Amino acid sequence: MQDNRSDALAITAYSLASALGRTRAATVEALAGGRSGLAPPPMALPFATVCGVPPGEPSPLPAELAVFDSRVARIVADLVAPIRGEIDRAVARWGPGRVGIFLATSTAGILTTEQAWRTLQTTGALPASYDFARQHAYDAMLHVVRGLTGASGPGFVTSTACSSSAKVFGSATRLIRAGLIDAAIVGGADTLCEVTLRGFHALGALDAEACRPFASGRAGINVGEGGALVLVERSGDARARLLAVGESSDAHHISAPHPEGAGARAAMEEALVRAGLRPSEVDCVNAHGTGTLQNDRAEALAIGATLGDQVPVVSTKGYTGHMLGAAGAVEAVLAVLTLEEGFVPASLGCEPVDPEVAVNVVRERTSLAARVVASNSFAFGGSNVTVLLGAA
Amino acid sequence: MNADIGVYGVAAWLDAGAWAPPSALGRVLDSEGKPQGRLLPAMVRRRASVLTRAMVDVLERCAAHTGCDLERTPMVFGSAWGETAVLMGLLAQMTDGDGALSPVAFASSVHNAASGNASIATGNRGFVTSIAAGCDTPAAALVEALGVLHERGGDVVVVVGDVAAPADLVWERERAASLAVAFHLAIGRPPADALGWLGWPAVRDLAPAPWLAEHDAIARHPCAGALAVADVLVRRAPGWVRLDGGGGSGFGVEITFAEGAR
Repeated sequence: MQDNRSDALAITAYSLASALGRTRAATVEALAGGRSGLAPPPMALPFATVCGVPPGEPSPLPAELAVFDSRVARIVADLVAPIRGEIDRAVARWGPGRVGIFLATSTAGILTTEQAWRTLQTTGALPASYDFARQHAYDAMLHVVRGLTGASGPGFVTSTACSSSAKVFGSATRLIRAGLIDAAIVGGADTLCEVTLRGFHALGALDAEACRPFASGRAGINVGEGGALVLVERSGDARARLLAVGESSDAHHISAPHPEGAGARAAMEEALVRAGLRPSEVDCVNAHGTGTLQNDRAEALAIGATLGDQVPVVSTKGYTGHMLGAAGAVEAVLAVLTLEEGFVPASLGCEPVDPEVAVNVVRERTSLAARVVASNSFAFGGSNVTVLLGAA
Repeated sequence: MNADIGVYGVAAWLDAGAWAPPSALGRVLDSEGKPQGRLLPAMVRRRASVLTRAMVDVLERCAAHTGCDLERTPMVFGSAWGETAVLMGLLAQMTDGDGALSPVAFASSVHNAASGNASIATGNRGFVTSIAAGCDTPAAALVEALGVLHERGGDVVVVVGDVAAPADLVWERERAASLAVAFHLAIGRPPADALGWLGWPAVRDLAPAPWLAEHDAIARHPCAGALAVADVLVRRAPGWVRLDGGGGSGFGVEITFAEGAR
């Protein structure tokens, strides 16, 4: 089969923030040590649950971007800082108009709107500083990244729930290959907010304790906050390679996955075809692995049917929580860490593994000289994405 | 960059109160009533938001133009603000009574509710996405769609829309109409069937369509530029069209017409 890895795009920089920390070093240390970042939620809720929140508070936006202020905008701004030098280099190399920005979120500025709504209910007026179009709307983070980096190529924010920041890798790939741009800042961020926590609780999808992806008796998700940014370039000094992206839809149900994982399987298969890879060439899977009965069962069926039952499978949501719109990008970076560091972290909370999950769930940290890692993200609306990452 | 993308269908829905659209636009514009969401199964339709119903309505009408197979056609949905009406309902539930949210409403509050429901209703198991870019949403949706066409060839449907921003959260001067517009784009279809041809959006020094300025609530709508494109297509007026009503980054798209095309 044709090896398209020489055509693969270069991942030249990345940053992330999760319950494991705001640095690569802290994240690697936690993954290596099997240390979860989950903790009680930072807000009062009428039900029990556990959340994943990055340590510390995100930094205020610079004054010239303050009109876009929201927690999610601050998270994104903080993600620019560690890779600002690489972004500046890319903007100088390719030209500002040739660097696109493809971001993602599911919550956008909902947290700010929740706070404004509560103020409206108690005082009869919105906060004087509240600006729906600039703080609530999805494109605020786009303006923040443009303002911080000077990148002026095409850009938008994808919001397809939990597959959002995986789909943006596909957008960047298409537009680089179409010749419209030469590089892209790709990623996503999400915050905790009451609507999300109460909503998943209403669906019966929220675990009262630490989530247990792939385990018998698993009881649902934990919501996480944070994000990741990845610099993708047509060529360059690669930390890893973006091999291909596969995308599909379940066409089944607005909030439940196809029970046999048909859409998930289609996304994985499309990614393999686009990358020119055989299933046996995938060395590891960072699963969507949310901890719900339905997702984990369906995903395991799909992985088994597409990649076999021997490929190591890990869910990292036991470390970070389910970061919703940010999950795709964060877990793509965690997949890159597997490629760079040479180990697959333990899939926290997975034991005893559900007998219906007939794939090789990684129970303890395992050394692995991986060349290809698949990262799955599946979402409400039946949106499915598989991102294939390769070693540099 | 030469895109040579044919536009094979267009449909629009607008709720802007008393407003007489340019006469040609009336051929593709439904401004007479509430959107029906005919594509959706009855139970889903009853619960669907105005935005979701409007977007699937224009999708259906647009696809009917040239028999676009919605089961097999990639879909790019765009909305600057998403399901704001559903969100307002959830906020009210959060602060009223015991604060319990409707699970159905929560699942319907995601930005991709319209695209997800369209995918389910049409049996589309392929590429479907939902994007946002403020007043640049029409431009961004076209860029994403052209990228998909460049990658895959064939057809793409683009649906952009927003309902009026929540009255409780915006100043009166910021309130906009409700609007949804759909385009069927394709490479490789018979040229004679094309309504027109368009290229890649680019930032140009363009003024918004003058007729938009006659109605502030439409001009400030984040998807107003899509309505301007629809107008140019039905009037067969070649040239560059600004893809926003004045509030975006200045993206425009060049629309041309081939001799003999309808």
